[in-house]
Amino acid sequence: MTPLAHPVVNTIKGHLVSFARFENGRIKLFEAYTSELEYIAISHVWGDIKWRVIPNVDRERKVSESKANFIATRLPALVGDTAFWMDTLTVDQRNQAEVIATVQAIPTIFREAIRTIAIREGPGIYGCCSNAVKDFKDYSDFFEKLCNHGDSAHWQHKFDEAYLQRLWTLQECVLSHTIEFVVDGLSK
Amino acid sequence: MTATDQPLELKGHGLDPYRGRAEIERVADSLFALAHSFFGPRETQGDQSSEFIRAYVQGGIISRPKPPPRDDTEDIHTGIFRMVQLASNRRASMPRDYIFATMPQFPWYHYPVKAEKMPFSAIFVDLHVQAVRNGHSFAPRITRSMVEKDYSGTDDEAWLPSKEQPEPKCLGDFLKLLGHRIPTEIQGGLNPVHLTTKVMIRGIEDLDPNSILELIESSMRFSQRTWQLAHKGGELSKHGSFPSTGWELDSVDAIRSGWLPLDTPLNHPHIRVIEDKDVNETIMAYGRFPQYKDDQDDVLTAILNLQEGEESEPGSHITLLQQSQMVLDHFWCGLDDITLNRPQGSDWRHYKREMRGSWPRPLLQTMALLAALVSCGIGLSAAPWMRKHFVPVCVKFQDQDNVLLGVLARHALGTDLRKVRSMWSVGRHPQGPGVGQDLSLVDQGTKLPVGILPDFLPDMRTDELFATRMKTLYSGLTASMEEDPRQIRFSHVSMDRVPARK
Repeated sequence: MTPLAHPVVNTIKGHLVSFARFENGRIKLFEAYTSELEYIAISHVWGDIKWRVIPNVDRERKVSESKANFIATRLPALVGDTAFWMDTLTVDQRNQAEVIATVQAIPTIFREAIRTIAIREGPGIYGCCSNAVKDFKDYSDFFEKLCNHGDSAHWQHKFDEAYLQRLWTLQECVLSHTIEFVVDGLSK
Repeated sequence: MTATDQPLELKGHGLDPYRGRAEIERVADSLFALAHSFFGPRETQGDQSSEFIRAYVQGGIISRPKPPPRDDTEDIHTGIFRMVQLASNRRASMPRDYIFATMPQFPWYHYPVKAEKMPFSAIFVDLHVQAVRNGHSFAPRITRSMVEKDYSGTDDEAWLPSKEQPEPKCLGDFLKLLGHRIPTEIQGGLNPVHLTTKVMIRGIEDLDPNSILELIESSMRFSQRTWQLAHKGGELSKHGSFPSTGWELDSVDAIRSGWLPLDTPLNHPHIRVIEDKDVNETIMAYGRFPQYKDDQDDVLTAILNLQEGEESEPGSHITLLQQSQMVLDHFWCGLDDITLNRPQGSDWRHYKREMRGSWPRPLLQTMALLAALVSCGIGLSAAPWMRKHFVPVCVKFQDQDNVLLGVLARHALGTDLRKVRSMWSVGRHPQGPGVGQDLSLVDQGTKLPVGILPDFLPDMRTDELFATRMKTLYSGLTASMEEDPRQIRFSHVSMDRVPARK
């Protein structure tokens, strides 16, 4: 049997994983065990991806245009100088074996993170919808307010909340203990 | 944090008055399911799920105590995850991701070596092997003898997952393939695979349109919760629910779907006189009524594909599969005594009247197949794959007035589909939450599973429903408890004790 190549699992220290950190405005990658580092995990939807250059990243990455902008302009303020894990940056997407090997580490990565930043995007719950449901009392009230607002304001509009349509984002939320929801404003 | 936004135009369904609301409901349901999944079964009381939704919608932070790592006693059936996500339309880029995203959290599961080169079916079979080895066996819905035409393995192996599986297109599809967990210890050490009762089955190819519509309605009413989830989760409603009466089957689409156009005078415009016995009316319809022959065997496997197509846009051709789903969703929503949707009930009755005498046979047959899949708990995205391997059949249980839809393996069809045949209904869960679910059709001669039946019990049910349904499912094998008629017990007859009928 071929031994697992990457990431490495240590029963005491956890998984050895590639992380990222902003240094002088640029992303630097390094390896560390999940239990020995305080880091933020990023949960997001991939969208319409292609290989492209991101201003503050050394190599080409497989990302959508909006995500590339997000990484360049908003991510630095969200993570500060804390280490973070984001699949599009810290996993070599050209190496299928590494991509698959990482799946074994994902439960630990999200469970051990100090928090998860979940990035919403896409034509779904718009800013006006958020205002329309602002003071909801419970789920029934939320549902009624959202439907009433949607019936009058969005009956002709797309309503695809991408973050609620992808499988990995469900798992990443379920594995996390603290989630900070942010909106990718450039696409919403 | 909110953002400036530019609402996008809805494409392709400006004329569908029901689609916008269905999409909003789907988003709200998904958000609720996410809140439930985050907080778990006991802790999700109103305030916590509301706070989760508020954090999601308005941008904020939500927290809970750090969950411990999963242990060896847990699997995908632990807790309420399966129940909450069974209708989920969450998608992954690759079929294998449905396993790789959900299973590695359990310490007993390890993705297989060379996984990147393995098809989904092989990874699914490997999942079952690992699950059984570690005491987490589950009841795969599509088994080996259902798909393998000349199955030659043992009786026990016939119940293993087929080496060919339909590739799931969403989380719900994947969870439906698993079925319920099979406990490691069954009381008395009995084989969990057991006889429930005898059923009569028959093909539907020669049924008239009204009979097929009645059969579909019967299945909808029997499996209301399943249909409700199929609509709310978006599986049934994804193309909308306002079909046009002017839809015509494209000939290329027909051939790809296994329907060969016949060259008959009926292909040319003519007047047709039809007697609608249900309402005692004679009507006249004018138009072309092309005839088709279901001849899948003559169609190259490579091109046999029910074309799902992209989301419909104005002017684009609506495929047979899309139209079938739209009509079915319209049908389901139009049962306004169940859905309480009076406007759509009226629209549906109008649509049915307009379609009298002009239902294309491929449309009705595809609707029947899809209805059977919904009722039997198979994801609709599997329709092209299921069409290659299965056919919809009428199923009649003893003591059950209504006839239901099931699916039967093509290789088990026999020569005359109109002939009524006797088969066994077989269960795989004599106890636990899977009782009355994951039912199979078994050939009485070979004792091998060759088809799938609808669940008899929803996940949430009343005592009255439990008693009524179980008496039908285990017809001849049940007895009521004297103290409470809603409590029944049934005799467990393991399949290995049932003699094969010569």
